[in-house]
Amino acid sequence: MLAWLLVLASGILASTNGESYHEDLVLRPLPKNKLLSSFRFVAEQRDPQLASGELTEYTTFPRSLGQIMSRASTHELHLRFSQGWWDAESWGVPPANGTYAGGVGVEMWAWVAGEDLADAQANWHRLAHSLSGFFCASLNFLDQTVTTHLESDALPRSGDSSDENLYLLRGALPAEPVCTENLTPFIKLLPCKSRAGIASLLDGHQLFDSQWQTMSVDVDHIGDRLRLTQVVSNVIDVPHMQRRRRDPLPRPEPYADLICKEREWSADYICLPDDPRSANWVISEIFDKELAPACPLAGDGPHVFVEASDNWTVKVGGNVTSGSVSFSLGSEPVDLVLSSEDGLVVLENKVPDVFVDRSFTGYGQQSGGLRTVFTNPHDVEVSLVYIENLPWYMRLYLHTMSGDLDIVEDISYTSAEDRTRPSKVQLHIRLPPLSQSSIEYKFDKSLLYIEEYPPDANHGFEVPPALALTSTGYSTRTTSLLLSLAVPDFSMPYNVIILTCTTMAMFLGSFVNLIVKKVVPEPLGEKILVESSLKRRIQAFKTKLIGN
Amino acid sequence: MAGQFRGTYVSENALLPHQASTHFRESEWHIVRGFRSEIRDFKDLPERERNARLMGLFDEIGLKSASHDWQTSTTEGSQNVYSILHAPRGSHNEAIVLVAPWTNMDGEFNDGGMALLVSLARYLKKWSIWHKNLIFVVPSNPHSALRAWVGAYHTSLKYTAGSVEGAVVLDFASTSERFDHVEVYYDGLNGQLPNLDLINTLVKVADAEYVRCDLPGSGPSYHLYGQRLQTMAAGIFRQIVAGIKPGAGCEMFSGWRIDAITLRAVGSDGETGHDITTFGRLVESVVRSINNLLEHFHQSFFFYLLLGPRFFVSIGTYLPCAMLVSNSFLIMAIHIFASKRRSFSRETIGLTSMTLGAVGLASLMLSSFFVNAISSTTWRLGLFAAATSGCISARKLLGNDTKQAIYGTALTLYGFSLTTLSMFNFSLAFGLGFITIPLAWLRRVKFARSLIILLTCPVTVLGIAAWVMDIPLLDLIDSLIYAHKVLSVWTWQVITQIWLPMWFVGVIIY
Amino acid sequence: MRVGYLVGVVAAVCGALAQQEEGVNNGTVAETVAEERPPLRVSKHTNNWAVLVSTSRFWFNYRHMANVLSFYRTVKRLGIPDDQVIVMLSDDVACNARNPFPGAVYNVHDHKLDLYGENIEVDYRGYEVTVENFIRLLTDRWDSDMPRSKRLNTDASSNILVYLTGHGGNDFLKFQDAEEIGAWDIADAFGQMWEKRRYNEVLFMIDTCEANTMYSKFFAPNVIAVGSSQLDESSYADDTDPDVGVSLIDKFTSINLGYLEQVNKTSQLTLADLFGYYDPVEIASHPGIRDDLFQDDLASVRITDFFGNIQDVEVDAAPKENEQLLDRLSSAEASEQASGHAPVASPVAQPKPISKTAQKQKQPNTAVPALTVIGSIIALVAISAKL
Repeated sequence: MLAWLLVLASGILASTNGESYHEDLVLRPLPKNKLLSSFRFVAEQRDPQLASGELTEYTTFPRSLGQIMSRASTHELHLRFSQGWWDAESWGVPPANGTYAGGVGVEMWAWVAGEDLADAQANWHRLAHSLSGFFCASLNFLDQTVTTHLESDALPRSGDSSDENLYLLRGALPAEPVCTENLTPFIKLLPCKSRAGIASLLDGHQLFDSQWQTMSVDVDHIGDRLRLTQVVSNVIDVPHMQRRRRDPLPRPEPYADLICKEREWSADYICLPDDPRSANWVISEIFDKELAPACPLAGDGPHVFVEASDNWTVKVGGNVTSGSVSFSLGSEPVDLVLSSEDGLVVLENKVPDVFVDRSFTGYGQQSGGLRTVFTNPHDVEVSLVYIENLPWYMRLYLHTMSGDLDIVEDISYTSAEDRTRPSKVQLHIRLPPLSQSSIEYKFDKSLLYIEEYPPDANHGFEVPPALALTSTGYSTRTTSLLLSLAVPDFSMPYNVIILTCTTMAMFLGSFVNLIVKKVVPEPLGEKILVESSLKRRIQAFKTKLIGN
Repeated sequence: MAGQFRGTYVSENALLPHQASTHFRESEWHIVRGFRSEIRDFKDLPERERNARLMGLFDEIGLKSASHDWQTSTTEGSQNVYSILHAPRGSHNEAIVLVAPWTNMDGEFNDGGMALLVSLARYLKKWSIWHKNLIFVVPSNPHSALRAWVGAYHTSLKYTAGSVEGAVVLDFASTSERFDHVEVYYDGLNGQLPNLDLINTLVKVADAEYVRCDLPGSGPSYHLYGQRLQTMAAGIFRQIVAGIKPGAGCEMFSGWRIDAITLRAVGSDGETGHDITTFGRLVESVVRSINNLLEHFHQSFFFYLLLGPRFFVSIGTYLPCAMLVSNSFLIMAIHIFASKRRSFSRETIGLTSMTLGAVGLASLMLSSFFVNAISSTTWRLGLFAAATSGCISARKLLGNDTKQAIYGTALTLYGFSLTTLSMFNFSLAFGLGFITIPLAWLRRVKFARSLIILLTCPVTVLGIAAWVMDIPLLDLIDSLIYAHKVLSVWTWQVITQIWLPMWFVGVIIY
Repeated sequence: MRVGYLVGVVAAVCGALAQQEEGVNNGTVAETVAEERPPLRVSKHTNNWAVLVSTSRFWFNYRHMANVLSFYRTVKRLGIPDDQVIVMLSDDVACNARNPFPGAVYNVHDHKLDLYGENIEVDYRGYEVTVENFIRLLTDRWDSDMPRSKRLNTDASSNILVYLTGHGGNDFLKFQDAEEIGAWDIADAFGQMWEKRRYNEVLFMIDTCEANTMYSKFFAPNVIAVGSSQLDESSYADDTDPDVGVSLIDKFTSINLGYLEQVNKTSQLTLADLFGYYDPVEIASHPGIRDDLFQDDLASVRITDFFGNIQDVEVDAAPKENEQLLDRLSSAEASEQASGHAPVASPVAQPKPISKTAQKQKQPNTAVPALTVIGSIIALVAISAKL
């Protein structure tokens, strides 16, 4: 997207005084009446921790985050909160080539400094705990059993130093809910909060009713500068949102309002429903808020970009243009209306480099299989890295890997250790053009200790999404999976049965002993023991066979 | 009998059946009619074209749809259509399946069910309360086509949506728009049953909508002993023949821990009764209740016998019956072994083992393990006749001691097998034990031994069953073998490897 | 001797009579001031904290989350800042996929008041709400990595409101349907807190079945405990909502909130008023109150001592200008309230000068026991002299 590059360029030029902040909003109609909105906030300044001699303090970069990172010796931090499903086939590539999108739940990776891996993990622990209080999320569950250590260059880095003391650690919590309590601290990091600028459109009630939404926080070190990039993207089903403004529940439409297709059997009471193709999207209705005046820190650059095809007309305040348009926020609130005769015609979306789907195969509670399907829709080869972390209670058997194995160029595998670390499978894959390949491998399910089962153990265990990174910089994630393990019966009858059986076994054992065994005086007992020793038995057997 | 059964209740607090208001009514009926007319328009087209039209309907609603081609043999194969509603706010790793096959279990055109499915898809998409994905499946028939789809979903299907938590099959085959009451089919293969809570939810929801719920094969009232007995017997019979006789569709989900039921609208020829949107509201409430669950169905019973929609017998009460029947064989075996004065000689033991081995081998060859080698059923019957004659000749050759040893051992093995079988397929074990109990009396009764042998012969019983079900015997055996091959139904294995050896032994010793 | 003895007896009797008279006086004073309430106490706390815990999981326990969020909203409205409120929500209902109103939690079925709002801080959520974490929170036993926002940083002059809701029974409360906290555990936790001087006073409210059993084991001083139902009684849910599909709130909490809606930051309503408002018929169970560990009369304790962030401030003799300023401020606030606006948020408490009438009343109270003592001493001296 050109818009992003433009803004980035202007941002870099503005950094002469050491600090800069800019924000932009991209609105893009997607096929089938969906609207993609992507808010980006970038704050940059010189790192106060590195300043030598000069008086530098935290200005645009929030002090709270800076202090958390320096206390945890973290060089670079990436945090993702996501919900929903990105329909790659219909919607193409997520904003910024998928860089700011995450898998379902919460995902965090960071380059953490430390003398050795254990030290780095202690710092990661500190980081996760501090951030859990800051973002009101259970990031403190990112402990050793869930975190993996990757090679420092496995994931793209914005910084350039190849410091050997930096360890790349990554963990994900796919079951973590994302809600307003995560949005509130996110907004608190912004200089203008949600009172001015594009952030005035952010509202939990709308954001969490989307088809897909993601919030990301990226802190990068570039030279001696700190950069904080915050992105909120979501895909809204516009007719659904418009309907919800009228009535939050889908009550049946009044008879007069039904729009029907023409058929020879059409009548008053027979209606094949037809959806109107014309679109009239009022932004204040969709977001339930108006765009507030510009944030004073944000500079003059265009703040809002609308990427639409020519059949769309965009009305901003009094101006009406068609096609893509960009404008700046002024000192007055402004409303935006996108309308078109045919709302189903939109700009073509860039086809992603690769589609990755993952699912479970097999059945039963003892073992199962994992199947990943890679589809290359282009007529050129695509090479990608596929990183998968599986919890330790999925005992992976790498030798059972089957399927189209010739696409796999290299495998890097770290086996799991019970209750200590998850398994890590890193595949370097080269896909032939216009192909669909699948890879499967089998795993065994294990039984956990009783205190390791979560309170809703019969729900299952969530397996984090796998990450696929192509060489062109496109990153995508699969869906998470629900693993059902054998679960003990936590109810009282289970305990009663166990206790009763134990008592009966003890009783019966003693009883059988009493019946079957005979009590003899000790000398006789010793004699029997001697006679029935192994040596004697062998001799007796020999005698029987050979004869004396 | 009073006191031996209990009333049903919803165990899982999370289900909250019919706590939320349903809105599939009024103008939605017009839409159901619209879809119904549209489907009737293209139902006579060739299969691929009509499926393409159906996928077009789902596409317009905004769902992702695809077709699934399947083939179990050179003669059997077709195409299914399925469509996925991705839950916008869920985690995408669980799914609820709604099925409306092109033809229902009796082969009638299921246009009401299909129209309802498409209009429900459109209606349910308006809600954003889904925690689980919804999958709408239209297989060509509720038997092998549906089974092929479920199997493919767990192995090779293009679009998947996570693990399936529950499934409801819709059957509304009449041409009218009204129905009188609803029949609930719940049997699974190999004695598997859905969690009782799923049926309880449906009954509660039907209550709230004033719709009567019946179990198949039984009448509207369940208050008399005779009615409940009839319901229970019908239930046991259905469990025994599940998979062999074309069923209602819900049994095709067995094997993957998916709880499934089939709802069938009955009595819909008149102009009175409930309308089709009431049926849709039943489905809407049940789907919403399954959506409310966080955990799999686990609270209520998995083993039960329904005496009526609101009465059931739990396993603790009915299992002793099967145990008594199978243990009677064991008791007989103990009696035989205990009444011997001397211990068995070495030759006896040798001959016993050899005979039992031969019997086992003959049974194995008749079972499905060699189904490719012995392709025709007539060949099978021939082999059976040969084995029987072999047994009759062995009868003349072997001594009394040997016969006793063989009888005792066979009874022991048979008793243990039946006991084990009754743990997971009560109906089959009980039915089998009931029919073959005379084999335990062979040494005790003086007369009518030939009659016993004749009556407990698998071929005879299968012949009677075929006559009752009104299909030729060869077809019945074919469908038994097919059920094992394609649907993993173990009935044929049970017949040939548990029952048949016992009968052969009976022939030898009588 | 006899004279001395007589004098002593007479003095004692006079003292007793005087006390009685004083009692009678008090009675008459009370009669004359029957419409006047007992004097409000001067509270010693300097900051207010709240710990609001919901302990049940699953969508059908929506009402427990709504209970906690209702109290969260109330204490925030009465001034306690987010930093000093620890919210433990055991499940996410606002953004739960099953919620037809995403991001919103309601406690009344007219859906007018959204408890979740746009500015909310949840400190412990989901699987973090466990018995261990709750006890550690109260007793502040954490390792150094625990962030400040998740700690109960109270001191010896903090008043804490502790509110628990969920499913419970005789002497226990279920956490997440998987573990239980016992009445002794909470009692010990409060005992530890007292030893470590982590609170000034605690108001403990609990809304579960058989809730009153949960405070039966308390032994630490300065604790008031309120439960929603007694032994063998259940607490009931209220307000089933057919749109959301669940019950929205519990009866006991609903009654409390109904009363608290009229309380604002300057309110002089007392805990006795609040507890007097409870009607067992309306609540469908018998709430219980335990105040034997508390030294002050509940009728003298303001509701805002626990639910709000209002502290008593001693003001030295104020110069005239300041008094006029105070008068003007209070009248401005009164007019604001009359016009329906909420008072401007001010974290600093308003000064409340000690009333002179209270001081006057104190003197006779000290006089009577003194008289009795003197009388008894004279009598004793006389008796011993005689002996």
